[in-house]
Formats: sequence, structure tokens, C-alpha cells
Amino acid sequence: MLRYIVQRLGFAVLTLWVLITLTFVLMQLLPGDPFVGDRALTDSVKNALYAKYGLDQPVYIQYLKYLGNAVQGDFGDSLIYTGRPVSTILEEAFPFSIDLGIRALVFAVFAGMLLGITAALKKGTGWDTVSMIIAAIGISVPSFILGSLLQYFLALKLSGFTNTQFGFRLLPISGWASEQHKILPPFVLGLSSLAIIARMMRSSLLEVAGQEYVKTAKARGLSMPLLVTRHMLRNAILPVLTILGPLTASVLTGAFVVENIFNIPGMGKYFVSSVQTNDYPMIAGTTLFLGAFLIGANLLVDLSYTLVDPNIKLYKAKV
Amino acid sequence: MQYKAEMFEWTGPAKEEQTLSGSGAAGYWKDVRQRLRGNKVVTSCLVILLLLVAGAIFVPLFSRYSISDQDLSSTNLGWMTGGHLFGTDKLGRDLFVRVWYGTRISLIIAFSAVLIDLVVGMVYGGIAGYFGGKTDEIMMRVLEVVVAIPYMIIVILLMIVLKPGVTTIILAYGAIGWTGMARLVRGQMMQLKEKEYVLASRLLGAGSWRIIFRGLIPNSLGVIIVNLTLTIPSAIFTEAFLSYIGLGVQIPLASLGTLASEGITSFQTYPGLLIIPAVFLCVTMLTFNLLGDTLRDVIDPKSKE
Amino acid sequence: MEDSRRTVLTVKDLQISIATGSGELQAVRGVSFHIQEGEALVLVGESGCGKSVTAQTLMRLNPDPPVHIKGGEIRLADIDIVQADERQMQQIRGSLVGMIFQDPMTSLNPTMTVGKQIGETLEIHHKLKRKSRWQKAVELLDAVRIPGAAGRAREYPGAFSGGMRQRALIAAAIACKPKLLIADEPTTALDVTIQAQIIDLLRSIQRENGMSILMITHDLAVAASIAQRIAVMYAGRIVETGTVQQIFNNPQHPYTWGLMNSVPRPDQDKNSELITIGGTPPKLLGPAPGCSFAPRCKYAMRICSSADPEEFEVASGHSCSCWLLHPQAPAAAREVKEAYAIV
Repeated sequence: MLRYIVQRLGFAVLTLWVLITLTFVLMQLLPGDPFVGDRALTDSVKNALYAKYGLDQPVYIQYLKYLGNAVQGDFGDSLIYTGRPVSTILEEAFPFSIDLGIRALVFAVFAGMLLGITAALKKGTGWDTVSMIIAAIGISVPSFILGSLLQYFLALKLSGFTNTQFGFRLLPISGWASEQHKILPPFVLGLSSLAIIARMMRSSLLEVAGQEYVKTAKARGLSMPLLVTRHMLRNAILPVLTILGPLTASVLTGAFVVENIFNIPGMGKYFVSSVQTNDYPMIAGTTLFLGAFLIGANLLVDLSYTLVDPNIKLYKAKV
Repeated sequence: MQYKAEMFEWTGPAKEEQTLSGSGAAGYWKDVRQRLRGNKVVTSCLVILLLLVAGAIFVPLFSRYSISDQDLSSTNLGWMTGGHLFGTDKLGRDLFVRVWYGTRISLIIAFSAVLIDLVVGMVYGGIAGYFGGKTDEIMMRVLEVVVAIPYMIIVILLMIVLKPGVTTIILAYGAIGWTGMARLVRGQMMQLKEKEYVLASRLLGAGSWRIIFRGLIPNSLGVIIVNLTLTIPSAIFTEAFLSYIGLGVQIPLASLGTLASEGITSFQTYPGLLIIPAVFLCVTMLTFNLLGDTLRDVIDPKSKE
Repeated sequence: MEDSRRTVLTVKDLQISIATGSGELQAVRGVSFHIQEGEALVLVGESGCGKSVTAQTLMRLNPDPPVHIKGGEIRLADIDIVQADERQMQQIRGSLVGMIFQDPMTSLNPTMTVGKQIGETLEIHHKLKRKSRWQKAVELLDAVRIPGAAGRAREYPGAFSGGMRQRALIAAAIACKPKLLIADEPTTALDVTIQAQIIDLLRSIQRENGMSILMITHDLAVAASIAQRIAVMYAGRIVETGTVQQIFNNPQHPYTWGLMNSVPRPDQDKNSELITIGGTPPKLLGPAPGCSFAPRCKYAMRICSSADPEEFEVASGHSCSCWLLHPQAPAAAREVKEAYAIV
């Protein structure tokens, strides 16, 4: 058990190192010079800037420095928000993203499982069909389209009389201030994950339903509700949990888009604007930060899985 | 009861019948083909895809307009006005042509990305699975690292460094997307390696590569096809996502993703500019997803009763 | 002797069909048998002959559709199983009838402790509290000869070997002292030495509790080691039935002869070949008229492929459905039969 944990931990560190190195290499490959902009700089100013950012040193020194800084969470200063360290911006923005992400994930997991379970238990009926149609739509409609449409219809069209005394607004258009603000964005962000979970849950439950131990339990006289809750659900949910790691990744990267649509001041909002303005330190910083976070989340999912499943093959990585 | 005496004459056992249909690879594919033929979902998906591909090829070829023809005297036209079936955008470009052209670009990106997936994944997984042992161990560790890094992040980084464009999207997706295919092929390879006919072809002196590509891969064809079908919508989605954050196909080209994200900016006044490309995008993805799902049910022998 | 005991189970003319993609499969075509109190009956036959479907139908474990009871009667201690509703069936399963299955490796829930799974039967039917349930589960594990039962009960099935799992499953099946234990190929997936232990265990349970056993197997040797009576099944029908002695000493049906020849015997000449039954069992999608075994039968006569064989009583309690027993059958047939008879 301990060996497994150490092994996973080492693997996470290795992955992180690969990610940092990759980011460094890619940033080195960037064409152009970060200080060639609109203003022409004199050579002396340029050299001073080079020295300040260590760009006059050999590449391997730059790399080691980059590595050291990255490990400490220092990603340099933003080029656009001048003088502000990337880490400070991320520190401010991250809580919004994680709030949005957790809400989306919780919604996706619960609603998705419910949908999948319903579909499996009512296999071949209208319930099944409707659930699977919802799931098919969920994975086939990109969030930016769904987000824009829902924003338009639910927040704008359905909210009448906004300027009168009796005005009401079904849902706010954008922002992240009140609880009402926090309904639509998590829904939009979570829908594709919901679809994936629902489909996995359905097939997993159907597979478990055909297992011999379910038949054996039925032969003991268990009623259908007992069979489902005691013998089927737990075994069916376990494999679904393994995708929580990758799903967290897809939710948090998906937040890039959703935060922009609903104007939520999270990491994604900054990231997209830094992409559009070539704010490289910001891009690299966000990437590394998010990458590290997701690698950590994956590790956590892996480790907690060993706690839930008594029969886990400890070295499943080898299989 | 009395019977005619001749009824009690010996006849002995019947001649061995030719049974055993439905077993073996040939029988399996015959079975699959039979089940596919009657499947309504598969048929309608294929028809829709055929229409999409045909439209993507021919509409831009034969249309009066081109994707970049601007007509500033007729901007933001609605449905069926001024000779424009789907209307025009804010620069007076014909949306009908643009949507079909966008479909073409999106499909090209998806198919190429999937092709890279297929080649890289098959070679990588094939080698790992066939040789096994140390080779396999190392290759799988490398693969795990690639998988552990969130793929969208890498794609975005690559896009920034390589400068956005159709080729870049294909390369970026191909650089990450092959892992699933590699795992799948490796797994199939491991299973099939144990089978007798591989041993037989070994004994007959077939080389390793010959066995991999002639003997083993055709047997894994079913699972590979399903995987590919489901990769296509994922590639289309990635392209649309990149387009939205400004890393997609660059003008003058347009994909369904860029069209839809352009549409968002003027959506509240001209909903058609978003809805039309969005419908194309969603229908394309939905069709591939449905097709893949149904094919999996049909091809996977586990779902047989 | 049979009349003095009560009948636990009566099956009369049971017909079961299974809906498949390519049509309706006649899995069981008019099967009748009965089991007395404390008696062990073994259904013997090749895989696919309908014996498992029959066993599972006795507890109505198969979903309908696709498995449908088309006709006949199942009476279990005065209860009409065919007519019973799902709630009644739940009360019967586990309390009146216990069942164990072929593959012990997959028959235990991997995420539930063994003790809890055994206790489940007691919880459902005897409404025992958790503590007494656990105590009883440990006692049962001990009774099926699992060493260190108290500690073992707390373990997950993953820590159990195949033989131990089957013991645990037997413990769960007999927890409520059912009148009838159905064992569907309980030893097939196990090593030969473990097989003998499991059979031994089943016999002692039967003796101690006065339980009736219906065992399903394809292995005549296994059947001989536990059965009082044997019913040989072929293609959805019972072709011969009798006591162990009757079947082994005086087999009447060519299929039974075939089965016996497939069993290696110690007294057999080492050089003599093990005889197998040629051909494959018939597909039951649209059975042809006549005896289903005729196409594989060395002794087939013209009538065999045109009319269903009548049932002939060979001796008291020994009957067989085969045209060879018809008085008009050639005398040679009797000679063949005598060659198989041991007496």
C-alpha cells in the first residue's frame, strides 16, 4: 500500500517535471523577442532588460532558474498587467475558477449518475431513451454554444420588465456575485461531463446486473431495491470514479470558455485574454499552475480509489 | 401400439452436418454485417454523414459566392433574402457557402487528426504490445506521462508556439490524441499474441512486422473503427474550443468553430449567425457520436447474447 | 420406501422457451420429475441441454422476457411456482430453496465481506439483528469447514480460494435451512480434490439437515457420488430416469450409454479408447420430429426420426424414452443393451 502511494507520488512529480520542461522548451521556441514591441528600445535598455530577466545567460542556466522559480510558484510578471506577478493574478482568479469547477463537477457527478442509473434500471423503456438522448446532446453541443444560447434565452429573453418596478430577471446574465449567478455557468460547464458519467454509469450498471453475484443474491431472496442498492450500485460506481481525474481536467479547461461567456473573473478569463495579447509569462504560468493542480487532483483520485475498493490491484499501472 | 415393421430397421447415425456457422473471424464479420444492415441508427447516421461530406465538397465548388466575397451593401441579411439562402454576415459574406466551407475545414481537421492518431497509435501500441517485456514497460510509462498532462493545455501551448492554422491544429491534436489508440492496440495485441494462428505464422517464418500488420491488426479492426469514429467528434470539439479562445483557424479560412464563435459576438441581434453554424457543428458531432456508440454495440462481441 | 416420505418438489411437463435474436428457442420441452424429502436427484446432460434453465426456473431467476415458461407445473411444498408473484418468490428464495452456482469466483460480491453476504439470507428471512446474524454467519462458515471462521467472515471474497468461496456460498444458501438445495454444476470450476471435498460437504449437509438436493452436472462420476436418483437430460427432455443403481447397472438409453463410455473407468483396459459421442447437440430453434438424439445415435432406426419415442417403464422407478424398448424393436437391440448392463 505504502509502496503504491510512493510510486504514484513519484510519478506525479515526474509528470510535473515533464510539464515544466515542456513549457520551458516551447517558450524558448517562441518566435520573436519579448521586448520588441511597438516602442523601439535602445540597445542599452534592451541589455538591461535582458540582464534583469536573465536572458543573457546560457540556456541551461535559464532552464534551472525557470525550474526553481516554477517549483516555488514564481512564474514571472505579466507583460500586460505590468508589474503584477503572474502568481498574484492567479491567486486572485483561482478561487472563482475552483468554485465554478466544483459546482459543475458536483452537478455533473450527481445528475450524471442519476441519469445513468435510471437509464440502466429502465433499460429499453422511454426513460432509457430520454436519458441517452440527453447524454448524446451533452457530448455533442460545445459549451460555448450552449452557454451563449442559454444566456440569451434564459437570462435575456425570459426576463421581462427589467426596467419597471415589477421587473424580474429569471437568471442574471453574467458575473459571479449572488447564488443566482452561480446556476447557469456550472450547468453549462458540467453538461458534457454529466453526459460522459451518465453513459459510463449506464453501461457499468448493466454489466454489474449481469454478474453472477447479483443472481446469487437474488437467489437469497433479496428484493430488487435491495439488490440495486447493496450489490449493484457500489460495484457499478467504482469504475465510474476512475474518470473523475480526467473529468476534473476537462471541467477546468472548459472553464476557460464558460468564464468568458459569463464574464467570471477566473483563471480562464485571464488566460484567454493573455492568449489574445501574447502575454507569454501569463500563459506559461496559468498552464503550469493548472497542470500542477490537475496532476495533484489525479493523484488524489487514484489514492482515494484504493480506499474505496477493497480488492484494488495495487499495481494496476502495470496492467 | 403397433407400428409397421419397416419402421424398426436400423439406419445408424446421420451424416455429420455442416454446422458451426457463426464461429471464427469470417463468421463474426458476416454476423456483424447482417446486424448492421437492419440497423436504422447506423443507416441514418451514414446518410447524414454522406450528405455532410457531399455538401462540404460540392457547395463551395458550385456556389455563386466564395467564402471571402464581401458585399458591404447587403450585410447581416436574414434568411432567404437577396439571393442568400442563409443570409449574410456583418461583412456581407454569404453564410450558406461559409457554413459548408466551414464544415469542409472541420471535417478535414477531424479526419486528418484521426489519421495521425491511427498511424501513431497503431505503431506505438503495436510495438509495445508485440514485443512486450522491457520495451512495453518503458513505452507504457512514457505514454502514461503524456496522458497525465492535461491534453487541452498542451494543445493550447503548441498552438501558441506554432502559430494557429489548420495544420497546427491537426499536428497539435495528433501529438496528444494517439494515446487512446495506442493503449487499445496494445491491449488487442497482447490478447491476440496468445492465439494459435500467430504461433503458426511464426513457425512458417513470418517476420514480426508482417505479423503485426497482416495478421493482428485486421483482427482488431472492429474496436479500432469504433475508437476512430468516436475520436472524430472529439477533434471537431477541440477545434471549436480553440477557435473560441482565439487559437483556431485564421481568416480568410473559416471552420464551423470559428463561424460559431464569430456568430456569438452578434448573436443577440442576428441569432442566425450563431444558430446555423451551431446546428451544423452539433449535428456533425452528434452523428459521429451516435454512429460510434451504435457500432460499438454491434461490433463488440461482449454485447452479443 | 418412496411413498412414506413427502414430496418436496414436483415438476410436470415443464416447457420453457427463450426468445433470441434468431427466433424462439425451445430450451425445455416437457420435463417432469419429482424430489422426495431428504433425497438427492441429479440432472445429467451436456451443456445446452436445458438443465440449468430448468434449475433456475425453479426459483424463477431468469428474466421474462427472454426466458418464458410456456407450460407445465412446478409445485414446491404446495406452492405453485409458475403462478407465484415476485413478492412470493422473494419469500421462497433463500428460505424454502437455496441455490449455489457454477462459478464460485464470480458468485460473491467482491466489495462485501463474506460474513455479511452469508448473513444476508438470515436478515431477509429471519429478520435477525446484526449481532446474531454475524454470530450465525460465523457458525455457518465453521459448519462448512472453513478454518478460523470468525476471522474469515470479516474478509472480502478476494482473500478466498475457489473451494473456500464455494463453501461460503453453500453456507449462505443453507443459512435458513431450506427444504431444497439446488446446486447448478457446483464443482465444475474446481480442482478434482476440491470437488470431492465439496461433494462430501453437500452429502453431510443433506444427511444432517434432511435437506433435499437437486444437483445439475454433466459429470456422471459426480452424479454417482451424491445421487439417489438420476435423470438424464438431452435436448430439453428427460430421456431416462431411475435410481443410481438402475442407471449405472442397467442403462437403457443409447445417450446414457454414451455418457458412461465417456467416463474413464479404472477397470477399463488401458489400451481401449475413450469413447466419445459423435456429432453436436441439436439446435433447438425448430426441433425436427422424432427423437432428438437420433442423428447421433448408432442404433437409430427409421422410426426414431419420424416419431417421438414413447416412455417405457423398465422397472419400478426406472423409465426410459427410447424406441429400442418397443417390443417391435429388433432383438439385436436387446443384446446391445445387455452388453451395457453390469448385472
